[in-house]
Amino acid sequence: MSDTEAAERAAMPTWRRLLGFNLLTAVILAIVGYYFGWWLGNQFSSSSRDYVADLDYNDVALILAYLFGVVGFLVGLGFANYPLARLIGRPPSLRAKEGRGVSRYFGLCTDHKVVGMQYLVGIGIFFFVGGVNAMLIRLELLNPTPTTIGPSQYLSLVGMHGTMMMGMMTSGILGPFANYFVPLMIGARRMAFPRIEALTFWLLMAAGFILMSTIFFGGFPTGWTGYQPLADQTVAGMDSYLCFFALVGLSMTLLGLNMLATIISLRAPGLTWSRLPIFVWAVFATSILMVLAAPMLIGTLLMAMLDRTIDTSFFVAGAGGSSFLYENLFWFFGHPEVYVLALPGFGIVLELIPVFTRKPLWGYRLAVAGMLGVSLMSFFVWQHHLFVSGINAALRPFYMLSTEIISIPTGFIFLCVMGTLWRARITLAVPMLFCLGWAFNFLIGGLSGVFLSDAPSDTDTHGSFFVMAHFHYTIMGGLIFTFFAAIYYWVPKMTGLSFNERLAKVHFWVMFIAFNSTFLPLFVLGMKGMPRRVSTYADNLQGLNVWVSVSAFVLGLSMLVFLVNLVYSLLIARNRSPHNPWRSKSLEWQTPTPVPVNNFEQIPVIESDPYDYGVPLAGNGVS
Amino acid sequence: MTTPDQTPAPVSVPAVPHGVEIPPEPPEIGARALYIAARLLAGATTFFFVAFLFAFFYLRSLNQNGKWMTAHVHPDKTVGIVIVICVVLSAVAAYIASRHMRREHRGWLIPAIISILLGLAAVVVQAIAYGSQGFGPTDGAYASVYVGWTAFFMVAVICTLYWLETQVATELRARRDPAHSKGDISDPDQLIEPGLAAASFFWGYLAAVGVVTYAVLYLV
Amino acid sequence: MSEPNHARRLGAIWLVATLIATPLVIFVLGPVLPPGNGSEQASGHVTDNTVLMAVMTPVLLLLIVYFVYALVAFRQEPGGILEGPAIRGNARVQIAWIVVTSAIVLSLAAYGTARLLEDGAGSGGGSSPVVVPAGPKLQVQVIGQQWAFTYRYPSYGGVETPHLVLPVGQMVELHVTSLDVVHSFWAYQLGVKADANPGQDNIAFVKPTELESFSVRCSELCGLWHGYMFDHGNVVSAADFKSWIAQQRVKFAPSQKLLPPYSTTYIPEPARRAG
Repeated sequence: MSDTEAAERAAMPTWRRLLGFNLLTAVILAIVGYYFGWWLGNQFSSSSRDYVADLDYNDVALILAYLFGVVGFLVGLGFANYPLARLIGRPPSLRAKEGRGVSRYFGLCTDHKVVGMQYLVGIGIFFFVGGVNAMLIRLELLNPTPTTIGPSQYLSLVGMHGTMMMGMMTSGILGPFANYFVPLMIGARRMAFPRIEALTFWLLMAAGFILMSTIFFGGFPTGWTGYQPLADQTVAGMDSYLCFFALVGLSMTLLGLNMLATIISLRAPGLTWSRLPIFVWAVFATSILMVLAAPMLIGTLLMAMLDRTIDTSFFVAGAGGSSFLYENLFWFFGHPEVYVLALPGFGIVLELIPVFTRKPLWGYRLAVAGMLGVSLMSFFVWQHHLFVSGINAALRPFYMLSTEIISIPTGFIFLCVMGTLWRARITLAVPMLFCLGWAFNFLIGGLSGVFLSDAPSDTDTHGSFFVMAHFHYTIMGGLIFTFFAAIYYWVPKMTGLSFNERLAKVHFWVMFIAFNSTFLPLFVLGMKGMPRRVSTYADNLQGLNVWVSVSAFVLGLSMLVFLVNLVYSLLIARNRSPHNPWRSKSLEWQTPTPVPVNNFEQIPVIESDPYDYGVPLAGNGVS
Repeated sequence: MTTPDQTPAPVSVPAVPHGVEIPPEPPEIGARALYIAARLLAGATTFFFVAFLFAFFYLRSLNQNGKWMTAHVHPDKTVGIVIVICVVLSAVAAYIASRHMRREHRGWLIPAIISILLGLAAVVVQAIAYGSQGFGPTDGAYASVYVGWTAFFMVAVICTLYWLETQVATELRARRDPAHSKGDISDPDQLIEPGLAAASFFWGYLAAVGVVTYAVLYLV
Repeated sequence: MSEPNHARRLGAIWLVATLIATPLVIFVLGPVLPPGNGSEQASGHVTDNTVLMAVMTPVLLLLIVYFVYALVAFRQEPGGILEGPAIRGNARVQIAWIVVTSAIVLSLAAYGTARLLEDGAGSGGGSSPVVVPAGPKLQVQVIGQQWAFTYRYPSYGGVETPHLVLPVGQMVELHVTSLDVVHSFWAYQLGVKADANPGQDNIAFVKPTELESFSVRCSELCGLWHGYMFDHGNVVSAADFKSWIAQQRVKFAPSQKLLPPYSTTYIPEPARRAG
């Protein structure tokens, strides 16, 4: 926007300035679209009544309402302008990176740095909501019989917690940090498709609100897996889940596609594949999974929607469908999804450890092979979620084998971390602490996975708290710890302000100890026979459950420590961060802070990989 | 074995004084990104339809409750043949348009428009078939797969036709209004070529998906 | 500069820790591992869990010892800006790591497969299981519905009972199916778990070995009262079982007339949700 335009705008009356493609218009059009869809759906479908939940519901009306609501929202933000302009033959154009100041954070903005910040805040809010759900779940589990929360609300909480975390946090690292830093790391001025980049964010936000709206429609009782035919029977809250996950799937597909296109086509001269920062490799491997696995999810959920609305029978046994079909399709997406959550964490750890050990990354090629190997292998293991289901039981040895094999490339990552620590100069700065926390958590998570990948042993642990503890170790211990490592490492670059280090250390230690104190006992509870997703359990398990709940509350408290630090450091104290506080040699730290709109005035020429730390040894067996 | 950190930064970020205009990025970058994106989109679309392909064979083999294909479900083969012919011819026309374009041949517009019309014809035939086929989504597993698969295939077809249409519209705008060709469209060929190449590649791919779709639904 | 031989020290610490911890895991932790010795399958799981624990103990110790050692030995002095050595890899270490981890996971997979193929390990093996234990088997059907399990004994006139009672020392062939949504039949002390799917038969084998009461829970989320879908079953002597089943046949004779004939799967009417 030029200065004269800005001056003109400032001279307008307030109501005139509020018009236009912005968040306010988007919300208004979303509401209009929602009620239009609702009305339309009621024209050719009548509502059903669920007597258990004491609720009238109409799946057609609700799904159309969500659909038109999302369309209205996107139109209001201005996403329809470009496609319509192309329709009438206007030439393709890259929208100018509009605006300055705060307002660009609240609308469609094609600057990858703005989108990164949007993601960080947006996802942070939903992460907080998901966390509060977890606190309520643990509150209920203080007692072996339901007290504070009824069974229906309990299941809705479980479903919302799981779905929110699995859905929103898939973009937890790729959304904020890959969008912000991949172009900087590869020496590009932008992402390959900046409009699509913005779209992925706003789709995700729309999806998040749809999921939360499930509480107005009776919630959903299926957990994050949405198993059929339970999902076919239940009330309209299920439609919120289906629409949420389908939109998340779409957002993931587009995010991955954009990342791959960017990494392949926009690398700076000299940035060969073997010089690519390892974090970019992790994003690359994750994006492959997103592009290929998420469409399967979209297809599956569309089938589920058809089952609920026009009475097709994909998953209804009595009418020719099968619950096995859903389980197969869902887990074909679901297992790569787990690695979509884990791989970015690998990337963060491998990217950060060289900085804090002052050594080059040890075994760069092995690390790349590990991540690509995990990415490829994760398409061949999905039936280990179904060992006791009776599906293709004769294939269990194969899935046992493939699941065991996937731990070999995962082991590469550990070897590279260990190799980098060898004879290093370790500084225990906060990001490094979180990386080391990852190492411990993922070790426990990985080793507990051995019980689950072993079909005989899985008979005991399947569907119990054991598996729940296992995936919290890999996802919360793997993703969330690295998410915070990335926040403490990169937010000083993104904002130019530094965190209070003492509070950050308190955050780490409370979080690390409380996390382990929460989830280690859950292995024991699972082994003692406590199933997942129940609000009632045997009396003799109460002691451990109370311990877990209290630890979980402390874990929640550690998040508050983080919030306090965030507000204090970024809003109150506002201490300027040194330009390159970690003395990193990576390209993103060589740019000025704040990063200019076009990142680089001149595209840099890359001459080596970004891990040029340490002093060379005179050739004593160093390869 | 250790010395203070004195090694130079591994990358050179030449400082450009402020006020110097940032050079525009070379046009082939956008073209390359589009080329890659079309292929990635094909990958994603494959997995989307694989869900339906898998559902077809899985439910067929299970035949739960004897409801795979109930007695009155008789898909009309002519519908499938007509749609496949439309889609394949349309994709061939798009390919011809793209080849003409690459050789800077002005005649690419005709095959492109033919391609769009043929594609739309396929959508119309499918829509008519839904009404006249004599079975609906509630008639067992085959009917479910049929309805879901063909409906979403047609959605994909419409989106691809939109993509082709934007290229045609850009060319028409540049031709119709010479003033504009000096204004917002200075070099239409350079704009259209990568877009048309990507769109026609994807349309060719989608036509192949269409052949598989109707072969499976009608012949298996 | 005299550096201690870190590799040798590390190896020594790890070896000592492993030599102490592994026997402890096998002989102290092993016997108390779940799910106990309620059946041949459950005992098998205890063995499996012990083996897995024993294999992963050295691995866990190696990594923990390494990380702690590295954090103690390889530190930057406070405020220091020293660089470490620029080691970018070591082919021998990498190859050794790949070989060792591959060997471990492949042998675990082989072990798991062998154990699974021995007797099905009490886990749901589908409608035509690959492993069928030899000898006479008592057929029992487990029917899941929201929110209870019921049991039919086809060799006793297909009588349907609300509780599960099994004779000790007898191989039982459980046919698990569901009338509505997906459930999972989990008899914890017997080491049995098999999903109940509508329209599908899922077979698991179990041979109870102890006279005891066992718990039955649903372990697949099945709706509102999933958490309340639990019960207790009993393993009794063969004679007690005979008298119990005779009693049940008398007791449930009136409802027996209303039941559909025994079948491996049932599709209740209406075939899909109402409304």
